[in-house]
Amino acid sequence: MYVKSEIARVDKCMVVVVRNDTIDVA
Amino acid sequence: MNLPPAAPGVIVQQQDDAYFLMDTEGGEVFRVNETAARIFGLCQSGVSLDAAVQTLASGLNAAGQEAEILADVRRTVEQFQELGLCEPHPAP
Repeated sequence: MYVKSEIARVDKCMVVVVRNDTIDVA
Repeated sequence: MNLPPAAPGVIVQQQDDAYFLMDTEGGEVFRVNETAARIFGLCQSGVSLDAAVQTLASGLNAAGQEAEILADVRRTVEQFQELGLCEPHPAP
């Protein structure tokens, strides 16, 4: 079953932390 | 027709079941599902639209849904271009 694509716009913003080129998710 | 190439500096990150497209130059981060992540990977590979549809159909166990996949790939790639994640024009 094909699931259509989904895109959502997300230093810190579930918590997503961006450091240089790595992303940590808590 | 080939898919448009990925924009420079955009990388894919996977964290468990979550996928992210990160624009390391623009500083924006997008959360995407597996399908969108696969489509972006195909843009990075520079494959043709037809090849992308076949790859997705086989990789996602969606044989027979090629028409739906084709429409979704077109829509997704347009979104990537609007968001600056892909180059504005298809590769030659």
